[in-house]
Amino acid sequence: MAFLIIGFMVFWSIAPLSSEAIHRGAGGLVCGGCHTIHNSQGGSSLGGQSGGSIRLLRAAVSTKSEIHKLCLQCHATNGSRATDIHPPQSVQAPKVWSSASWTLSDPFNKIGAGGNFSPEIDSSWTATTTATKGYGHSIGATNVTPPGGDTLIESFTCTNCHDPHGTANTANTEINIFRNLRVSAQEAGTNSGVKFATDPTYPYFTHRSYVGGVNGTYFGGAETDNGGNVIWPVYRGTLTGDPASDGANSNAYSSDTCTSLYGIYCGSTYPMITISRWCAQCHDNWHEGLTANRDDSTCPGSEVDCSVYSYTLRQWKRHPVNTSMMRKAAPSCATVSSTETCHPNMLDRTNYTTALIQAGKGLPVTASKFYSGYVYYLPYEPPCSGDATCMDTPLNAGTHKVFCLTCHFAHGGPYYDNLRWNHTSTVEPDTPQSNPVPKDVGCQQCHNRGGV
Amino acid sequence: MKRPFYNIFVAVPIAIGLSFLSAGDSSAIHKGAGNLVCGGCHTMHNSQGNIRLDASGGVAGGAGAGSFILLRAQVNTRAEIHKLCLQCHATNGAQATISQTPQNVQAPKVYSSASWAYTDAFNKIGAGGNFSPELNASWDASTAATLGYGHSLGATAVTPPGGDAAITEFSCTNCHDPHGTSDTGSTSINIFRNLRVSATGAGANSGVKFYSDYTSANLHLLHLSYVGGVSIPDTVHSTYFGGTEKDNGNNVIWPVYRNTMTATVSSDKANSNSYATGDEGATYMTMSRWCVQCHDNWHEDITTTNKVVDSLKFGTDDYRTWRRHPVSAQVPRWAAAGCASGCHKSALDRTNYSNTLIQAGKGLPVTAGYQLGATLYGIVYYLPFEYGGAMENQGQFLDIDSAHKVFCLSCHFAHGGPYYDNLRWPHLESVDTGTQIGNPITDTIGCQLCHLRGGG
Repeated sequence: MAFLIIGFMVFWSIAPLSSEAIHRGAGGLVCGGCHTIHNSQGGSSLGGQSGGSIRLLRAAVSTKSEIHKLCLQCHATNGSRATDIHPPQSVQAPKVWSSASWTLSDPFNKIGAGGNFSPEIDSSWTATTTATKGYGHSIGATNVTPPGGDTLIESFTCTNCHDPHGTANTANTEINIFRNLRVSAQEAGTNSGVKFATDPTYPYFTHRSYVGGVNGTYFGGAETDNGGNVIWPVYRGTLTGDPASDGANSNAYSSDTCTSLYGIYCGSTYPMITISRWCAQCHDNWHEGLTANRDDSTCPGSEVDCSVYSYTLRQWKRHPVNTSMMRKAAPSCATVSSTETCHPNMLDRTNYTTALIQAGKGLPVTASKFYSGYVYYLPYEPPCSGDATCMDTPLNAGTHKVFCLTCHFAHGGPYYDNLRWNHTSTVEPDTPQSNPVPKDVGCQQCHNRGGV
Repeated sequence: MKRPFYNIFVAVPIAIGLSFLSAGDSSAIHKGAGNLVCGGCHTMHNSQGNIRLDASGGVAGGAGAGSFILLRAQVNTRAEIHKLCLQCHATNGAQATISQTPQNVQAPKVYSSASWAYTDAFNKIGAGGNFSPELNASWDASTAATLGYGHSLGATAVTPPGGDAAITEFSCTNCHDPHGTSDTGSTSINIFRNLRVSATGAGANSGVKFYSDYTSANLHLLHLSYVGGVSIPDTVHSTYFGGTEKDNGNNVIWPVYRNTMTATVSSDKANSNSYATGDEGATYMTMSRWCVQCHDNWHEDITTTNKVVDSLKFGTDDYRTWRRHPVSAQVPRWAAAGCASGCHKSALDRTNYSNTLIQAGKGLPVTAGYQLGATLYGIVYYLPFEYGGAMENQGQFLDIDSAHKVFCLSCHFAHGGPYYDNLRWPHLESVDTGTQIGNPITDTIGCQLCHLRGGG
């Protein structure tokens, strides 16, 4: 349960920030959008305050931890600039705080890819919960250690994760072009520093988006949530379930070059380049490449030499966040017998279907090398019939992987622990109350238990 | 009694020091280039030549009852005084093309119908900019007093942005003494552009006397100009009063530099203005300190809360946090791109600042600097480009009497310009109260010349 507490999970903005619209990527920087040089801009101050705000910001920002109170002027539905049309792309900023509702019964194109900071942040943009127990990242928090983290963060706000100026240069050593995520999240601690790959030779190692400067041509405006507010959801339009045709309408998250579940055999050029590794800068203990979350004690020697197909081969102590998702894993993979020849694991995707993908509820995973198009979801493949060769080799680089965003929104959402479904009814200390989860949502999409 | 028209105006140049930063003819027709020509601006009995200087009212003998302080234009209040000044200093003034004695030059234009854009060089606009479009063709303010393209001449009962006192009437003579001085020892007028020591209506922080020992070897502490009688001791400029420099409409201006910049200080200093650096103490005052007589809150030495220093975070980006942009802070000459996150924790990144840019007439205006360890003075208007060297060390960096500094004119024209907020580049689409929308700025202009963000 602990690993699911995501109150401080990386503040990653799969689109919600206008990172490449008014920020760099869609044209020159618009300095005056956020800064007032003498706290006098236009005789007003965009909610500013007497004496000026820190870093010359055009909002009431007295400390670094309050910087989101500037960002949300454009990126919240109740911001003073919520409906402004921003040059040069002439679009509204996508909303990361929205008064509109979304539930697990809605498709993922009706909420920002990063989710919604409401209700974690109230209408005054103040956290409603304790920093480590709530609905999402508690922007505004001070002196908190992220769940699973190794370092105290003095001030936490949007800019801990995102560089507000952004970059259009894929070679930038400080900023990733994808969502302007900092290469080194601020105050992240010992595992800081994740530079994403952008090598066209390996498109499945590249973070992609149908919107924003990542693709350079489309900057949104047509996608809206249930309240009619502009968002950048994880996909647009309607999905067919075929990556080849859906690739143009979907985000895609880089797979890993690593050939070990531990990450110790990662490529030297692009070592550990997934969103999970990025998140684990702050949530160190939750990545099996950084922390020994898997007990292989029953398996002598290295895992590649192990021929013992049993549950005891791989005992997870924390759920993996960088482990291959075999596309054809059969339901029987959940039960092991002497005749079981598929790679033994806990998977059972009986209820995962193309229809579910088309309904906008596909399971988010990293991209893979298996298709010509790259999408956010795990494409549906018929399960294996017991032939070991039909399974994807898990130790090969470029396979689909479960990752943080498989279960969690990056920013926040309507459910505790930043989850995509209502797993628990409370997150109070020591008194968490669990909710029943239907067979076709949440955990049971991958781990069906009890049949159809 | 009626004299030929030219006699009236050729012999009668404007008497107002509307020359902020070279735009005014501070020492040409006003004191400095010869004796004062009282009759140029004043008519003793509202009967001079039986016609007003502006020649537009059709009222023989000037304004019906005569103009305010005997002026030879339709001026009824102090807020309208610019309507006299602009007769000579505007391209559409009645005396715009008159060659003024004794230097026999046209008055430099501070209001011009010619266009200028940030893509043009700074030698194609007056050093103080252009009061158009802040003023329309009738010389009336086109915008609200605190929201516009420049200083709103004609405004009444306004508190300047950042100011501490309401100004009853605002016109050219609030800043410039119309009679001028050629005496560096004057206690009421600075010889540079005839700027008043105490700007009229300025309030609590009034009174800025520039360092004016022009025999001193400390040239970086002086305000200098290649034009207008403000002599540069080692280049002999006191005899040049302009006339050759023109804007895009071929109107005479006094731009911040003339001819072509080589980007080499030793050769450019003869062709460039230079703005004093200093410590803002009693002796070494900068132009920023002069400006904040009225815009008090914008100078970190006066409003000290503009800068927040957290000593516990020394060496980090949070060590020095600005709440208003500095206007008297050192600009290290060798600030490297990594300075945004490395070396001295400044926010600078001048990756796109270059000699080529200076040669194109788009160098960044800063105060003058004394190049430590070298023989040259940085007495040019621009920040010289340096490369391959280390940052000024701590001691040098703190030697604020010697360092180049960012100052008001780094970003703003003194008078006005084509862009909102009097800026040198199009920063905003609009400046309506509370609804400003920013403009995209390319990597090679404006803010990003010093603060490149996100890579080139």
